[in-house]
Amino acid sequence: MKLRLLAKKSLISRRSTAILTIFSIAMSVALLLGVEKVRVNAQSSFANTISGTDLIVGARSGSIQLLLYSVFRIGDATNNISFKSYQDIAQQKGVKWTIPISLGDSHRGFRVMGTSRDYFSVYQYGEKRTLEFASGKQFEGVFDAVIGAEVANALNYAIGDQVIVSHGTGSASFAQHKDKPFIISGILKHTGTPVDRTLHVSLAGIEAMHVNWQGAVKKRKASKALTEANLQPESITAFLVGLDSKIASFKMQRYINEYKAEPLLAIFPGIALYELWDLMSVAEKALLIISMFVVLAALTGMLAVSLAGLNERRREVAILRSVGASHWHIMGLLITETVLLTVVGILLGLALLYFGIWFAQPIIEKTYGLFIPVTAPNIRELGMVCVLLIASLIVGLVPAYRAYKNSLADGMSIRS
Amino acid sequence: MIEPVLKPTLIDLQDVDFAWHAKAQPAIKSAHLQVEKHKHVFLRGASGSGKSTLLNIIGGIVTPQHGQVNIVGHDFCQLKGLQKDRVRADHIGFIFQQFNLIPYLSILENVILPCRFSKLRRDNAIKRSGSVLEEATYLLNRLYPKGKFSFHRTTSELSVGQQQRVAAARALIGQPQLIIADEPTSSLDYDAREAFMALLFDEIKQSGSTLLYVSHDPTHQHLFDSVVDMSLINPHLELAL
Amino acid sequence: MKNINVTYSHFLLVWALTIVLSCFIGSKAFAADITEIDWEVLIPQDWNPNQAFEDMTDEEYYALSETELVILEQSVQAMFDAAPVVEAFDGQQVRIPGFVLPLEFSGTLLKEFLLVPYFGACTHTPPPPANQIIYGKLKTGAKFESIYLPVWITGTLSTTRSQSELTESGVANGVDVQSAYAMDVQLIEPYIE
Repeated sequence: MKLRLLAKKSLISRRSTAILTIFSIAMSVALLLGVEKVRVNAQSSFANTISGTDLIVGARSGSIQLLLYSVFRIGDATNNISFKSYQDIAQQKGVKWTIPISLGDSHRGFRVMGTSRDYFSVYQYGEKRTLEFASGKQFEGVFDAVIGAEVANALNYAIGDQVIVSHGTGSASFAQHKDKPFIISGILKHTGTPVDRTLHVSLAGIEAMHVNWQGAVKKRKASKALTEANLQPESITAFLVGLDSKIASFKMQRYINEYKAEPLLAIFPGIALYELWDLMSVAEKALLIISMFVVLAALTGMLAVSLAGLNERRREVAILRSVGASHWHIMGLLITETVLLTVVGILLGLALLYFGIWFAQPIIEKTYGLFIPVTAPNIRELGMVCVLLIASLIVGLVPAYRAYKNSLADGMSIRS
Repeated sequence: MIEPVLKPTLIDLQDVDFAWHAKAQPAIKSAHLQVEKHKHVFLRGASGSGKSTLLNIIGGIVTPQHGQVNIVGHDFCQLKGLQKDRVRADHIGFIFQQFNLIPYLSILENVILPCRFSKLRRDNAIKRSGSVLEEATYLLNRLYPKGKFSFHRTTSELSVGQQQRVAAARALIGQPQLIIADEPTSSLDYDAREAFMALLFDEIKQSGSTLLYVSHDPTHQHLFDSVVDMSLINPHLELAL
Repeated sequence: MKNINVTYSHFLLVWALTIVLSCFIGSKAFAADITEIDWEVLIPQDWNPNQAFEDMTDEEYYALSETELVILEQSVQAMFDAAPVVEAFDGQQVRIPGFVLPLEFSGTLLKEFLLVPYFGACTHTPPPPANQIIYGKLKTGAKFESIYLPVWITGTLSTTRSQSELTESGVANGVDVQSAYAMDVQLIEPYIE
């Protein structure tokens, strides 16, 4: 096809502007598709964390908030719930299992979670997957800890290492439970969920840390021995509930929400997740619109470059007309150049995107618990690429028409 | 297929009027021109006499507002733009005064351009030399008997004289019936000019093409069959000064 | 060379047509067996948890003491929990509209959910009785947009036996084997009036 060859050679001769144009399109494409990828994968990352849990119960706050701090370890609870209420509800008919969760401490930026031993056999994530140990086992002693895969990786921990837990959930804390070090008894396999970024200890362990500990000040040393027996917690932050029958979920939720002894909130994780996605969708739409404007800017830049170069190409057009090129040939040449630039830009953009994902993947997963896989573009992304190609065609029409008009006025008179 | 009516005249203009814009002065008024096949015609005229416009009309680039235009047997007033483009591609080769070549194509690619737009000339070239590229190389070698440079180079490195000869090769490839040269040697020095004319005529005699040569320099008039002045063709035009 | 191209594209065309045709026929056959139902038919005709209230006259109702009212309402609630199912629906292919409460996901696709007759089943008192809830499962995850919009669910219903034994006072006794409707869901479509 003579047009494609001419277009290619023409662009190569104007390399510097062509490369800049390609680059701007590439970056806009990488941004547009990157935003889409993050959106989809954020959604599935969240969905991947919840499985098999019928209800989540915590102090009365917002349902999204409860979901975020109990499962995703994002944010904090406003209040705790009494251990008694927990025990009472756990014993109700129809309750198959419960997992208590105690939050509020951290270790070098990773959250520390107090829970029961059942957690390791009952908790599910992904599509009904249970936790597996890469090495070691669950906690037995009061000061045993089980850490997630990411914690082990980032801090280079092995079985038997000692860890000091800090109070509060900030990345640094100046109130450390130095006198109560924990020992790592187990390391979990990678899950791709916030479990990887958590240190798990027993409820007794949490309690033991806080014995004789008020605010940031340690009271006098305790005289009693720290055994599990006298380390019953008074309160926990939240608990997960599994029921005998899913149909009974509504009834149990009603019961907990109307629990007389304490104000509690029971949520359906699925509903809360959808509410979360709903909330996120506003931000997502904003990001999408911004990305589209960036693409528009890139296309406009390409148009400007093309129009600016038209004047010096009038000679070229006259020559082509003289050897028999029709007006359609001329317009086709200019449109082909535009589309060619866009195609190369898109390919480069995809390459930039995938390289970027590959490079940033581990960092993003560590910091946000968000796993973005390097996958082929989905239908929506391909649709965006198609729309971009069509847009480039339309953009190409402008200089093409301009050149046509010029050619009518010039004829074969080659003006210098 | 456009069926040409066979006539001995290759170019036949009758009473042609043409203005570039609707409200402008006509560049051509009541123009007449006849050129027979195989003839070499020297067209003389000062600037502003309407030479370029005439060439545009003959080439089918523009359509006159009034008059008859018959080129290579085709009635241009009846043909659509695309059809005229076809005729121009198949039957006419142009050489301009300067800036003949497309800067981002190599010498060879410039020369074979007409064969990309005309199957007829392509076939002619293949018939004579086996392939389009070989035909181009043959022509270039004839026009550069002493040439020692590669024809794959870009045209930006050539001197004006060299460029003009490449342009001639391009106009000649595929042996079109009509060669139109618009002041092709104005930018050349004496020696280059002589060489150019000699080679051009040599080629044309071989191929039997008709030549319409436009110039204001009478030096080479004697080489031509007939000399026509623009004032005869375009009698009513007041020269815009 | 030319001949090979012709036969290849012919083959593709025939193959594509066959697929389209069989889908069409298949879906038609499938459609023939589906019954469109509403939520009321899922309640056995002879089950009326509000019977006690309905049998009363207005005077009797207003004459109830606080505690008596509470006990009555509790027994109604217990009946709700132990609501029986209509056995006839076991194995039937039905199409029913409702609101989805998502339970399990595969990526962002929905795999398990509860279907209820009205939105906000988790916030309205009282929650729907057990025979007005369907536990739906999908073999392959389906895209699902909004919990706020109703959908048509098409699939095969199945029932589990109910074993609600009521004592004289109407309080459920014995083992609470929750009676339940479950469904192998084949299709989720948006509900348009």
